[in-house]
Amino acid sequence: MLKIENLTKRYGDKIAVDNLSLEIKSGEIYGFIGHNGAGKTTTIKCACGLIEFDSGEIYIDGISIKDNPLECKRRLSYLPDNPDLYGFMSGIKYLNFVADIYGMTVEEREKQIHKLSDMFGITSDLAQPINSYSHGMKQKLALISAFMHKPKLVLLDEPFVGLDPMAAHRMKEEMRSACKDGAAVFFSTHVLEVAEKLCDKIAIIRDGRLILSGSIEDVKGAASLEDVFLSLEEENG
Amino acid sequence: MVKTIFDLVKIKITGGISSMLSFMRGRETKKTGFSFGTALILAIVIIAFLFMMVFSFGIAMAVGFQMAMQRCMWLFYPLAFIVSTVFAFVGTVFAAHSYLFEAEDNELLLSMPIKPSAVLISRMLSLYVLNLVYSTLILFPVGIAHRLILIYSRYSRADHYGINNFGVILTYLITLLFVPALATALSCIIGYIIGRVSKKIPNKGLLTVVIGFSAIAVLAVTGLNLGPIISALINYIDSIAISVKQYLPLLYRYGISSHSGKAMWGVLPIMTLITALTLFVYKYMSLNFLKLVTKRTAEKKKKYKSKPMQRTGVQYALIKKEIGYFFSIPAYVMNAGMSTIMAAFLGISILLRGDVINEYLPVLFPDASGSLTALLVGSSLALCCTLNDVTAPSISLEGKTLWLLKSTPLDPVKIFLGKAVLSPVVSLPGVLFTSIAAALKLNMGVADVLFVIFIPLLACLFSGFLGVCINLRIPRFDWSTEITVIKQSLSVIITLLVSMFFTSIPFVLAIVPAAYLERFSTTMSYGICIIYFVLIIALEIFYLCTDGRKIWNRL
Repeated sequence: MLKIENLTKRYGDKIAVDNLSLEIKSGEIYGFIGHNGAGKTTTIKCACGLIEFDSGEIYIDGISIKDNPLECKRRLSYLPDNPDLYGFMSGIKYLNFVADIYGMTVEEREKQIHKLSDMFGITSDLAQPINSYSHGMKQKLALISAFMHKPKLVLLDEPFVGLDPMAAHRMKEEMRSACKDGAAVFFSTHVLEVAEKLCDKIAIIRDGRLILSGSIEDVKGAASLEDVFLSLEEENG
Repeated sequence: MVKTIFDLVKIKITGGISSMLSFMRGRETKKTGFSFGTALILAIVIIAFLFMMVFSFGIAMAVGFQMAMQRCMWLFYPLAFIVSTVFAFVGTVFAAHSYLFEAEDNELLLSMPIKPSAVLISRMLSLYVLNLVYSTLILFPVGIAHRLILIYSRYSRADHYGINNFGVILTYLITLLFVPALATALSCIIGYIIGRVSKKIPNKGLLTVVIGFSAIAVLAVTGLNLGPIISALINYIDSIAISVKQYLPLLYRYGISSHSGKAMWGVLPIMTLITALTLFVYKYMSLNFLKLVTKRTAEKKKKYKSKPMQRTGVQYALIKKEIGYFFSIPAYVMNAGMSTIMAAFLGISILLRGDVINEYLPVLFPDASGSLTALLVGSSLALCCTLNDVTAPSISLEGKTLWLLKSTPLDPVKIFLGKAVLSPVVSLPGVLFTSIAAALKLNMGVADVLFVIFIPLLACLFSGFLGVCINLRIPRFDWSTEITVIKQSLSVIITLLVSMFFTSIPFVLAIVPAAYLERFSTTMSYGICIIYFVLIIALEIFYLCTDGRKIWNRL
């Protein structure tokens, strides 16, 4: 579903992502781990067509994001680490705006919005302007908008930040459910326990380079993911 | 504590200036300290300052000489005192509330070991500096005018100790320092009241827009009647002097001291009053400062009721989003809405003086062909519409929400169109009102009325697309409040200037021949204007479809 081939992205002289390759198949939950400034966000932004990259290729469902960004974006949804939304809109207006952009039918949007907002417990707040929402509520609204149009690929940057335990649990459920329906989820996180329990596969990035990737069992073996990550950091540090 | 206050004032002022200069520079990536943008805006600011000073100087000389002849030169400084206080007050009153209570670093500073009163003093001092700038724009030229009148007017020397008298210089300096203090105290009072009242009002944005437009209307009416006001001041200066002497003894004593340098004690009462007022305002606000800064009023929660949803097209959804954003920011409405207000003024003028236009236009232009009236009204309306700079900050305003549009399957051209269309939408009420007024009061046919409606809308669409084109070239996404990109960005200023220039071209090409050449038909004039706008709009769209799309992808 997502294929990244030899991706390189520079910011001036600094190489943010260095020759990175990854493949995420349908039905997989793929975790992306690395220290602050390792290149996680840049990789995800390149994958969803937010920023241009210097070399390499990114394919979404077999379509090149460079050649046909609109077709790729129809198949994916993205959630940044700090989702700033249109504060002047009410929650429901925002969700309808996103539904219009993705061309969702009335029946589809009614079903999905009500299902997901009930699930995240913000239905009663949908008439409120987003400006009045707390950080967690904004995160939930952004998650609803990310999942409601049933994308084939979900790209999430630090999705657990600001979520209460119940919402975090519901989100994990939604991620699993989306994958069961054939979607792929690629997310970055610093919460290693979550990655360990939730992901099918994992990739560890350091200074823009992929230093380890594979199934969760292959990566951690008998140790915990935290131990593996820390030892890798020490080795490469 | 003094050092802390001094540091806070320094941070506020230098932060404000560097933010302003940074926004003038355009792109955030630019590292050079002095770019074309900075130079352009600094030139505009300096010209505006010089214009204001020369204007104040001219009025001060005219009124001052009259005062000297009427032997009431003592009234010179009291009048300057009042005018400069009002000027500074008007300049800062709208900023006072946000300056005092809504600063972004309030919570950060209050969490540090700094007394809330010190934070308040630093805020008031920053406001004082702003008032000092405003009042100096009047008091500096007034001071020069006073000296010149003393040198050249034989009437004014009789009651004077001498031009370089220490008392005169001292009272002038005291005036320079105390006028901004009074303006600060008054701005703080109004800012405080606005803070208290706005917490209890549900639709604050609408209230701000109504107050803002009312203030603009008052200023516009005052500006338009400035000539008669100054004439009345000059003609009735002796009666005004008698009244001040009789009913405002403090001002009279201040006037005597400031003009002649005699009886220096005369300055003391008025200065004591200002000091007392400022201290009272500070003390009163410091009692409630913490509460005002940290209090969050719980707004009544709107409960969501499930209603049938509607599906709309992508383009319509984008336009709706732009309109929603526009009406959610009062400063945005007031800035771009000026075009509608100007157009409405034009409509009102036509309704009131339409007969005069019908009567005198054929006399002024006897060789004019066809309906010159429609060309003049249409061009005036189109020029009013160029004041509508609603799209010039629209890309920058995406700010931290840019990811939303960029990560969704939207053709950038649809986004640009959604933004550009906002321009005619905002101007439409004023254009329609004036067109109806013109159709009712002026001698115009159906084609003329249609021209008066469509040409301004075409001009709006042109300036709308222009704003998007220019903002794409010089966007700023690192703003903390929308007002910085709406009012201070280079994109807005360039759009206004370029839009005015290009909008005036076809009318010069069409009106001049239509006014003086008998053979030049109205149809030709209309044709020139329409073809011109269609062509430049087509060029803009071409640019957006090619380079614009690439630039958007790089943002």
